[in-house]
Amino acid sequence: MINKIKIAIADDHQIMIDGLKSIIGKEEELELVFEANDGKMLLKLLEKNKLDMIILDIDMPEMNGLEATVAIKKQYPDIKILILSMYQEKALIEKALLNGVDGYVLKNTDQEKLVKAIRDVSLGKKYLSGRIKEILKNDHNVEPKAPLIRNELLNTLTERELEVLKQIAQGYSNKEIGTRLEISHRTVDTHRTNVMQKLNIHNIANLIKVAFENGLIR
Amino acid sequence: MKGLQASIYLFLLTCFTFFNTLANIEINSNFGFEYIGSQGEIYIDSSRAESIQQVIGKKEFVKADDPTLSFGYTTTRIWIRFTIQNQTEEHQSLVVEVPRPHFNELELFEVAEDSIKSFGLTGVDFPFDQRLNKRRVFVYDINLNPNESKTYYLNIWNRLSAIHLPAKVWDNNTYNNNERKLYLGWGISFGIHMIIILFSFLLYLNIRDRLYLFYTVYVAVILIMHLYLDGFLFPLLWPNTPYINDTMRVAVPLLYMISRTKFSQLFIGIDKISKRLNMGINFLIYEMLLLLFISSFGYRLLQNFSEFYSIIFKINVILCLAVFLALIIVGVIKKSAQIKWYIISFLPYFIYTLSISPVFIKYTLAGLSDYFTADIDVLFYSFSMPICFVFEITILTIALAYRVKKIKDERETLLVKVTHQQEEQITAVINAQESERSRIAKELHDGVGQLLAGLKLKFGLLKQTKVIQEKEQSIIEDSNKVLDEAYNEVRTISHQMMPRALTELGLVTAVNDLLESTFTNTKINFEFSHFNIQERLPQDIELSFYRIIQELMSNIIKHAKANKISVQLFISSGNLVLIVEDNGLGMNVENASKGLGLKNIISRIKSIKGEVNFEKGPEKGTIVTARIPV
Repeated sequence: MINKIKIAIADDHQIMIDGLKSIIGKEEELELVFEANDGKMLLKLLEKNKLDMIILDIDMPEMNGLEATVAIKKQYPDIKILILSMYQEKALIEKALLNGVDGYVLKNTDQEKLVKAIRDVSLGKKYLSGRIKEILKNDHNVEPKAPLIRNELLNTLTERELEVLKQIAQGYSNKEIGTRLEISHRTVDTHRTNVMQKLNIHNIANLIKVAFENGLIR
Repeated sequence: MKGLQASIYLFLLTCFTFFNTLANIEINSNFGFEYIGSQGEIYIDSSRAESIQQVIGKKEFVKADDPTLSFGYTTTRIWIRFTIQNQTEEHQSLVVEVPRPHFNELELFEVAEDSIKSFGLTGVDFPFDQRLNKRRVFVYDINLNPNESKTYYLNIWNRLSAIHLPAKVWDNNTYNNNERKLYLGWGISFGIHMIIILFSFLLYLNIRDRLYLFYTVYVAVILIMHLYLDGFLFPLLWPNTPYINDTMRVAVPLLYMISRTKFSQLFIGIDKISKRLNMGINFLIYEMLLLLFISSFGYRLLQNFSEFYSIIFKINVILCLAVFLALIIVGVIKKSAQIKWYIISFLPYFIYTLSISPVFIKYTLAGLSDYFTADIDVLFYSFSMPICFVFEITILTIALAYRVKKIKDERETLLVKVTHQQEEQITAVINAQESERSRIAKELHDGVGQLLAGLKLKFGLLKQTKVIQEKEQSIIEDSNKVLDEAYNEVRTISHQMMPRALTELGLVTAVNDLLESTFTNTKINFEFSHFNIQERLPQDIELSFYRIIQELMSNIIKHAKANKISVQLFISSGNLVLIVEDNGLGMNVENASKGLGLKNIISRIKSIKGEVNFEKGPEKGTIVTARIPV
């Protein structure tokens, strides 16, 4: 008799547990050891049972899946974790992966793929469903790239223009800057245009980047 | 019969005696002025038909012995005879002054042995230009040679008010000096009145309380009354329509009484204290307005009923005084806030009135209809009353200015309260909305979503059973697709209502997710950058900024026709700053701020006490800046 893969399910919805139960029951090499309705219950049951892997939901009362992952990986680093969740936000998926999950599958995944995911993860492979991979590929570079402006270009700005640039980068509108520097908002507009021309920048976003990169504001 | 004879005899004897002891007005080197009344003689012509020729040398002239020459109310013609004797060795230029500006007719004659010289028939019944001396009162220049003695006859007739003339003979220089002093006093008084009129009108414009308008009117009426009583208005305003003088004679005191009563009513706030008195005052005011109307337009008609009119007028004066007293009594009893100012303000005038009351009563009994004037001394008359009025309006103005401050403070406190309440309400609404959204999102996600997911799992099991025929397999496939759609729909709605990433991972991540899920697979390029945000921010700020960005994105997609959007989120100088810039059409800030979307944004940011600004971009599009201290 082959060694069956010992599995636990943690989900706060009985219908999900029932569904998973019937899938697992159909696969010979899989064995359901226990089921839990939240993270705390899961941890308690883990103390008494030996497991190979857990199918874990993120959204649960008491302790959610992400928190549970951290605790489990700390205490039982060998137990594999497959997340089965409705969430498809990149940030959450990344967070889950960061916490050390071995697989991430969406709850509306087809049965065959789900079984494949369980098998892969239990064998120690990482498994991400196709949709998850797609989401993770959507990568926008958040970090600023190479500095936009060098110092000498910034030196061409007059004191007034530098002051206006600082104020813009502090989130003040033209009108507010006008009031703060006791000049008309049209003059502020002219200063802004001049700054943009001198620095060869065409939008406010980059102006603010320049201000940050050159330490004009902190 | 015997009694009558005796009386006539006694009368003639008296006349004769006075005639013999008659003193002239003697001009020596120290001469300043002399009342004509104290040295002159009077003769009363009841027929009003006698000419100067008939009057000259009449035996009926009697010594007046009254410096201010009061005759009370009379329609007869009064003749006054006086002689001026120059006792110096020099030529003397003198001034005869009749210091009341409102006699209907008067004429001065210089009578010598063989000649009669008239200084011209004048008075307020004649155009101002006809006066020899174009002064506000009646002034005649006379010249006396050394040791010369001249006799003068002055006749006066008044139609509707009393005759009362503290006429004087002045040394020319003394007269001019005195006039200068008077004009200085008038100038100061006029200035104070004008300042107060302007000031109280500005107060009215500022707080729009009609009390201030009526106060302005009241002070203006006081000023007009003084100018009229001192004879300034006739030469200035209607020099060629003399009949207006008679109209004004009744209109001015009425105007004064009306404006004073109306002002007092509002100042003490009698409508809030005693409804009955308030009604009475209103009635009196309407009655006086009617009287004013009749006397202004129907004056010629009224002339025939002058006695009757005089009685009505006096009744009104008494009613006004009664109202005045009632106002004070009720004000004191009911502790009106303004009453002490009111009492202080009229104290000097009250004392002044008391001091002249003996004379006042005497004239009233004699039938004087000018209720407000009674001369004791010209200077005292000219200045005491205006000083009392100036004091009164100064005190009242201070009280009213103080009241404005109080009202403004109250309004401000109220405004702050209301604004605070509104903000709290908005915040409460937003909080309620958010918690409801959160609840629904959770319900959708945990309830419907999970059920659909579970259903799908079970459906998958169904697919594997061999019992189902191929025909039914396709039905199962289709149903599966519908299930998937339903599941995704629920998930998306739930996510939009309350993004899990926001509560779990914070603003920056959630905004990144939002932008990616919104703009992936669209023609819009977006750029999102954030600096300086290392830690989680307070929950309400994160949620508000997230909602604002959501709203802005949907606005841009709906209206801006932009293809480039940049979103910046950073902390700078202790503020969390959001700048959203697009290259779209740019919005009309005026119109757009009335739209629901922008209103939501504004109330959102207000509820967390932040700032938001909408501006045109440097080249095109719109820049939205939101800022909140963190």
